[in-house]
Parts: sequence; structure tokens; C-alpha cells
Amino acid sequence: MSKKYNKYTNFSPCKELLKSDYAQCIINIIDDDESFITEQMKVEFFEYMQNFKTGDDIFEHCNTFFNQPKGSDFATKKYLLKGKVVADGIYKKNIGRVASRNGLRWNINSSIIKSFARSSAGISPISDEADESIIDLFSVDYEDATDCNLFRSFIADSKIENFLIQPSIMWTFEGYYDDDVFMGYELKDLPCILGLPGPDGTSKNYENNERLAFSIQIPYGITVRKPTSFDAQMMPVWRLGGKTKPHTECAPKFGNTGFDEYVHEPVTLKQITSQFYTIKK
Amino acid sequence: MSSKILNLIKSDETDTVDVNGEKPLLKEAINLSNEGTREQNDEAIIQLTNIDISLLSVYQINSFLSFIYYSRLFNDKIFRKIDSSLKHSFHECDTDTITKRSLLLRFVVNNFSNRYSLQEVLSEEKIRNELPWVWSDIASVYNWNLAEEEIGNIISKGDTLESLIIRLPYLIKKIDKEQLKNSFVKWYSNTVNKKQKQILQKWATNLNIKFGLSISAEYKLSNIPLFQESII
Repeated sequence: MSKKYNKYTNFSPCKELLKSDYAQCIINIIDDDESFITEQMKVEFFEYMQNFKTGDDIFEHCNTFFNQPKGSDFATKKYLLKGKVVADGIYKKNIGRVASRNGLRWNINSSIIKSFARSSAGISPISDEADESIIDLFSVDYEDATDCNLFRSFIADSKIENFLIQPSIMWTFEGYYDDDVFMGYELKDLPCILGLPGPDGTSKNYENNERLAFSIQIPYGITVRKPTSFDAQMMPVWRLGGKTKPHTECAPKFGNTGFDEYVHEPVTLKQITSQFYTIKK
Repeated sequence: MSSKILNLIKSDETDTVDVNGEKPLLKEAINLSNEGTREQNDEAIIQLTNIDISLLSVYQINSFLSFIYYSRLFNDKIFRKIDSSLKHSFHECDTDTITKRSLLLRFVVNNFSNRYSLQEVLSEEKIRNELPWVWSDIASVYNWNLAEEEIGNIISKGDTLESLIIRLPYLIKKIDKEQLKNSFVKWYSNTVNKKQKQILQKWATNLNIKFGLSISAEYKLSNIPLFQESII
């Protein structure tokens, strides 16, 4: 780790963070390639940190720092989506996305709420039980995959196809094959290959989250980038280098570098090109 | 009394999510359902029953009910809490109040079986008039024919059917395939425009429902589109 920022990292509470499970986040920021995350941006981050008295305070407020200006669209965010632009070939590929089952359920529900806003007072027009049935109907085991025509009809006829899959930036990955990003390995290994976080953001209990995998095709017009430490924010499982970092459990099988990973603005539900595949533990 | 659940309910309207894209309220509820000890569940029930539902906004009531649903805390104390609110509050005629009442009522009839009679539900005319889809959700718990008829009425008023489509995954799970087929046939007879017909036909095909001969009794053959002629 470069000593250039010692005057900041010697400050408590940064010191406190460097002794915690989140030390890697600070290391990532300091070591990030300075052609994308500039020294000026790093200094702004560290100076922001000086406003807080404890590591917990920083952690609680870092989201505010990385997401400024608040409420602005992604193109004008000061710190997000600033990494190297990925070549155009990416637009022809089916790339992968893994989402928590409940997160995806909530995101589809948000689309329904927005779509039905006028008639449903800004709340879901269907019950939670009905809402759960949507993900249930369109989730399958990868081995039983067919096509996603039923899902396509569903989002088109319920008029939610043009809503975003999620409100935040999307992390996606490229597998071994362009047509089917989930081919060549077992789906149960995917959270480990991708180095996905557990409930507290670290690698602890990473396999406990119920997750679904699906593929998307990114439309021209959405810039795809390699992630920076500012995109990863306080995510200690993330590493520099543009590849996913497998957890130690599956590193013997898949090596220390996983798949190419990308970040971009969220795409709409109609960009989904597969069914939702259940990831078994 | 400070309540973690009430705070989660109040902040649920924001888009805040954790590192895995999960909403804090839902995450807490699911954790309770999966790993909650008896003491934690009891504490959650105390917190929930201490909330004054009449002070919650529409969105907060939605979140309150989602918390109970995902934590699976369907016990008698919770029922009595909601039942009491329905009896003593939410009788005004403004849209907000009717929406709140409809959400609470739908939740109770879905998750606490046999607590209200069909007669009580049928008397909810305000919900039926203002929120017919929600009323059909409630009616479907008692008698599918009632819900089917209500949906037929909605279709005959020219509804664009998005509300039916988003309910289909649930209906597929809940309603017997033969019943759903019969409903499709009836709903088709309620359609008043081409767009509605196309959507019903498309979803009949999607769900592998063949309209079959039953529809021919209701239509002159000349009125039946090619799709149906081919399966009759």
C-alpha cells in the first residue's frame, strides 16, 4: 500500500477502519489506478472521512460520498462509473448478473409500483404473496432452462418492460462462452467464483444469501466500464484488476482470478435474455 | 417506546438497500423468519402490536404488512391488532383511507383464514367501487366465482388488463387449471375491444389453455379469430 496517503490514514477513525474487516476497502482506494481514480478524488474521499469520529460513522456515511450529487443521473455522478470503457464487442454478448432473490423481487415490485402508480397510490397493487409468485413462476433450475418468452410476455403485457432492473449501478460478468454465460461450470459455484459478499459485506456467510442468476444484453448507449474502487465502495471482498476475486473455498478449483467484471448504468427488464436460474447451496 | 421495526417501516419508502441489494425491512423480516429465536419473535410481536396503525401512511401500512408477511408472524395477537384497527378506524370515504382499509382486509383474509365471513367481505362496497382489483383479490379467497365475475365486470369496462397479467403468476399457483380455463373463456366473453381479446388469447396460449368448444357456444363461428378456429 502506497504511503502517499499516510497523513490521512494515520488519522483516527481511518486507523480504526484499517484494523477492521473493512481495511481492504481503504487499501483498494489507495492502490487504485490513478488514471481513473485520480489523486484529487482520493484526497476528497479522505478529507470527507475526517468529518467523522469513528469507523462506524464513516461506514454509515460513505454511501453519501460515493453517490453524490444526490439524486442526479448516473452520467453526472462525481465518483461512480469512472473506470476504463470496455470495447464495443460487449454489446453482442449475453453477460451474467447474480442478484439476491429478495432484492430482485423487490426491484420487480418497484417496477410494478411505478407502472401502476396512478391507480395504486404508489404502493404495490398486488399482495406480497402474489408478488412472491412472480419470481417463483419465472425461476427454474439451470438444467431445466427453456427460453424466457413467458417472462417477456409477462413484462410486456403488464407494461413493466421499460423499467430498470434495479435503481443502482449494475455489476455484471462475462463467463467462458458468449452465448451462454452460465456454461462451463456449476451454477452453485458462481457466488464463490464471483466473490460475492455475505450479509455484512465481507466474505462471511457469502453462501447464505438466496440468489438468482440471469443474463442480460446491454443496449448500445449504455457505457460499460471496468469497476474502480469507488464503484466498489465499502466492499472488502472486491479487488483491483478487473476480474472477480474467488473466495478461498473455490480458489483451488478456479484460481485466484475469476471472470471479467463490469459496471454500468442499470438496464431495463426487457434486456433480460434468460430465465432466472436458482443458485443452490 | 423506541421500536426498531417502526423505524424500519418509516424508512422503507427510500431506495436504501444493503450490499446485496436487499431492503433492510425485508431483510430483518426474513432473518426473523429463518433464524429468529422465540424471544426475538415475541419481541417483534410486541413491537408490531404497539404500532398505532391508524397513524401510518398508505406506504407504511404496506411495509407493516410486508414485515408481518415475510417474518411469518401470523399469530392471534397480530390478527387482533389488525382486526381492531379495521373495526375502529378506516371508515372514512377518502381514497387514502379506502386504500389502507383494503390493504389490511386483503392481508387478513389471505393470511388468517376463516376470521371474517363472506357476508362481512361482501359489505365492503367502498373497496369494491374504488379498488375493484383489490376487492377481487379479497373475494377470491372465499369464492373464485365471485372474483371471476368481478374481473369480468372490470374487463367489460374496457380495462387494459395489466392488473390481470401481474396477478397471473399468483392465480396459476392458486387456481385449479380447469377453473382458470373456464375463467378465461368467461373473461373473453366480457372483452369489449380487440386489444383485450389479443391479450387473453396470447395468455391462454402461454398457459397452454385451450379455449375449446365451450367458447363456440357463445360466439358465432364467424366472430372467432383464426387462433380459436384452429383449436376448436
